[in-house]
Amino acid sequence: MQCQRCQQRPANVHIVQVNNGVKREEHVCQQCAAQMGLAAIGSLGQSNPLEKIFPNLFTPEAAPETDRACPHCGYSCQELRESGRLGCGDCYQYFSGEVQPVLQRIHNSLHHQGKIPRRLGGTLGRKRQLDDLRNQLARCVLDERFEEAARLRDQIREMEKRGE
Amino acid sequence: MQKDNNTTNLTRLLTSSASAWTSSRSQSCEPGQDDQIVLASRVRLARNLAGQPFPAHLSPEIGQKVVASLFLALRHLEMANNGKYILLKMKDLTPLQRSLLLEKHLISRELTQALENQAVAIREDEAVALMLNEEDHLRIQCLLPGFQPEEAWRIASEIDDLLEEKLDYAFDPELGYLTTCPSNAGTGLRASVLLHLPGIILTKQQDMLLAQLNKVGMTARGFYGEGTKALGHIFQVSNQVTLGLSEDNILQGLKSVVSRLLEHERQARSRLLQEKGAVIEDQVWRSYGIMSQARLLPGKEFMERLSYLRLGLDLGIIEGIDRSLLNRLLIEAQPAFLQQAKGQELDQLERDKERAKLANIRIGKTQREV
Ligand SMILES: [Zn+2]
Ligand SMILES: [Zn+2]
Repeated sequence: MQCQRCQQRPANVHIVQVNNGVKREEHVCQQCAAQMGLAAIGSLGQSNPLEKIFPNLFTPEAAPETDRACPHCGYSCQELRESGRLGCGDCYQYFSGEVQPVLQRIHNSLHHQGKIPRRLGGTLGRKRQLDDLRNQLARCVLDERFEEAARLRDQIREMEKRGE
Repeated sequence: MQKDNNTTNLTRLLTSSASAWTSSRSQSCEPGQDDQIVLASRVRLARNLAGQPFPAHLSPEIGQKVVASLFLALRHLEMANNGKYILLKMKDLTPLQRSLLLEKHLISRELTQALENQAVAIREDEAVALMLNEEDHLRIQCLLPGFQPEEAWRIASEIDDLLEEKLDYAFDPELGYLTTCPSNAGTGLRASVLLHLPGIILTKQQDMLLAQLNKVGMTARGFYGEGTKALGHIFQVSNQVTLGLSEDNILQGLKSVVSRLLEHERQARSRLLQEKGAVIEDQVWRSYGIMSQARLLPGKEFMERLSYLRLGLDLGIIEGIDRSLLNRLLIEAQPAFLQQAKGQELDQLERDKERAKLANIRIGKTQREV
């Protein structure tokens, strides 16, 4: 069998890698294996950057009896805990119990404040603006800045009217 | 996405150490300017397609569908006059070619695995690289010379807007852009700057300063992403928090942290000059001598000597060295580039020899056969 990397030398090293629950096998020559050895150490170290920061990120106090899986992609709770990564966008909803504490720990927030895809921009953008205004209003009231608060209140009413 | 008539571009991409970020914006500026200390600015956006498993879980069939829709979006990008892109499927490249792109910072280590359906589209000016099926379906990278993270963000975001016209991104109103790793969720934005901080390191302030970074949601790593023991006094500082802040907040946060680091660096440099001027001057000229004449240069020593030369230029101790040449040397002295220049595989001793030859020619201007 030929080396699958350089396609030149005979393969005499069999490498089995399990990455994110996916098993990869490769037959390579010694030279390529040595080269990969360096790369592998590098990528192993980086395979889960969270692990270094938060070693027990997804490890719950007690493991649940059944291993649930995302109905969309089939990713299991077990895999999630081992890899620290998600299987698809729906996993965020499905595993929200596991993921949200992690997001909270890393980012100290569960509320996106950034860019919104344009196709959602219309309604979402307005909702965001309204939220911002309401927050400002609450702060003004707390600080007893009533003139500004009145101005904000009018602005919010105006926006709500336009939204209907 | 021209695949055939772009062989010259492809050759340049895989042979020249010159890239968008290695050009110098600081050739003529005064000592201590930001762009002398900040080598490059990078912005990376993580995006995924809605309704599809993330790359690590793609079946070959769905994987092909994902790639097809990404390719279509890339073509749309070209039609919108966003420059010409060179599309490379990672499987079509040799391991050496992949390493060359990694050393130029045009792909990530993740892509060098060359898994099925992994590809990169690199804009002709090499300032933009779009990685397909890296950890996420799409990674938009913009890498520019000097201290301009906002400009890098502007370019990346514009491309993001254009691609979005053809792609349905995985997005949640509360959590933002959904990514394979929760550490990227929200904005999917990682902004970083490459800093040359010999002053801070020589005055032994790095541990204190880097510990402070973590407290404000930033992190520091070495040039090629290794630990905080930075080779050649070069650090990469980037934001750690991607959710709960707007892109603007993230960039402003990074800018203010970096500005403070630059202030520390300038102070450290003038302190060094005052207290140890003779030692610094000696180190700069000693480095010039070693780079010009040494016959073996291990990577670590090379990086250290290169750092002293750059410091010497910044402080006006030495003259007549092109700054973009120093940036390119950072790349040219890496293993894959050395092996490509020599046209053969090299063991460590041979690499040290080739690296020394390279330094002799570039710095010492000596006629030596590489
Ligand atoms: Zn081989
Ligand atoms: Zn899922």
